[in-house]
Amino acid sequence: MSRDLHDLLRAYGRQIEQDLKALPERSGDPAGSPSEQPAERRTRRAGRSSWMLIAATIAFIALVTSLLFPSALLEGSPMNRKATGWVLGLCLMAGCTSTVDDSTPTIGSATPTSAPSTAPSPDVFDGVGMVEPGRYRVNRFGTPIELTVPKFWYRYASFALSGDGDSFVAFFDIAHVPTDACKWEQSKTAIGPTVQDLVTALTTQQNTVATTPEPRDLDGHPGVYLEVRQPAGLDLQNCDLQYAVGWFDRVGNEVPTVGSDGFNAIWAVDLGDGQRVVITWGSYQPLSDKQRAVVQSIVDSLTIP
Amino acid sequence: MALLGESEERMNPVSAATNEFVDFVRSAEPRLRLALGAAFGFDVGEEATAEALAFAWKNWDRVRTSANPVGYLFGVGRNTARRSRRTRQPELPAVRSEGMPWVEPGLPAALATLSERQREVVMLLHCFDWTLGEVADVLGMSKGTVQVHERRGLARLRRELGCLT
Repeated sequence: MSRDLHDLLRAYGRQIEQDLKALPERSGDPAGSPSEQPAERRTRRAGRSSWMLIAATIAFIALVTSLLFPSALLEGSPMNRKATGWVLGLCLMAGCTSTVDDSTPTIGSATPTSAPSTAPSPDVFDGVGMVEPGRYRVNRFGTPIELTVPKFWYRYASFALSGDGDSFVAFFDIAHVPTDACKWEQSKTAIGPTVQDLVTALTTQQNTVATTPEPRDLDGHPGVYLEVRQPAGLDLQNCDLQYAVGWFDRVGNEVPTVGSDGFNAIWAVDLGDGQRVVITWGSYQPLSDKQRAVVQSIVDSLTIP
Repeated sequence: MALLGESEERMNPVSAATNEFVDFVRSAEPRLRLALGAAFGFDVGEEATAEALAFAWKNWDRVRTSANPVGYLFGVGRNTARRSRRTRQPELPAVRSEGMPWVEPGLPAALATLSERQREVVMLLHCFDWTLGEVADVLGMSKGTVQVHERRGLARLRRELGCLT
């Protein structure tokens, strides 16, 4: 039986809603969802519906084709059979995509520069969802940084891209580093603006382990590379909110540390004019060699034009 | 007398504040109950919601003028729940099987293994169908942070439950 985690969670949610609704003196929407914000939910559902409509249309065309030209499948040349197979395969893929996830990635507004051109590349974080493969820029740090995004990567935040195996590549402006990654709520500490300020904070942080920092430039801009992760055996149950935090970005988002089975590379680069960018990549779970190579290809493609 | 009473009520700023508070409770209470219930279990969440709303009534001027009253009260309720919870893990209701095509009895236990933030985010987004914006608003975090917790929470749930897609 095919079971989907989202369906399980939704069914469980309905059960809880019914239980809560049965309690006396309750008012309002049982789902507790603010009625004044339906637009986003409608958009999400509309997106899902449009995918299903496309899938249904392709499936219908394939069905009609196979009824009108059965010989293409049964008696045709290998090429005809292959073409029919492709159509049916596409139908299946489209059908699967339409039912996999509510948050099916959508194509963002940015389109990449594929051929050498004098026009600047689009901002990779301009838009939401899946990123078309190609050359992009990160413009948030004053000095633009360029990178090449491979197939099947998507934006999962305004500062991070994610790919297969929970891998990520992210760009941070780090303002605070807790002195203790486990007790991060009480130990949040502002850090200075230099690369060395950040490196010192990360290498002296309690409840993380860091590799020896190594100098590593990015197109002539001085930087430092190190890897940071949780120590083996760290009991997150004793940590604030039961997780560990490596740093906070400029707007106050806390960023969880990667577990001892994951991988987190940190490359802090001085862009000049007091601007520091932290490029970080890795995964919260072990990566295969192939997955790691894809992440590395993005890192290797980084340039400052 | 009744008409006079109504007229007096309309003119009375205390009554106006009461009406405003009642409207606020009508809108905020279900959200607080679900958000705190997802974090701490629905019994503890129920008590924490009541405490948070009692705080709001006593400090209505402060709450109503805050930038995000529901987020503010969620913080109040969370502090209450952390002090009053009986066990470290939330007590989530068991899955009922009647009328369901299929069930996963291990779901509440798997949800209980998530961190507090992961569980809040995963349950509000996927059990109760809130939007990213709604979750970010009540929990007082950015949409990006919500997504980080969602991804980590779902990955852990999949690991806990094994075979699910």
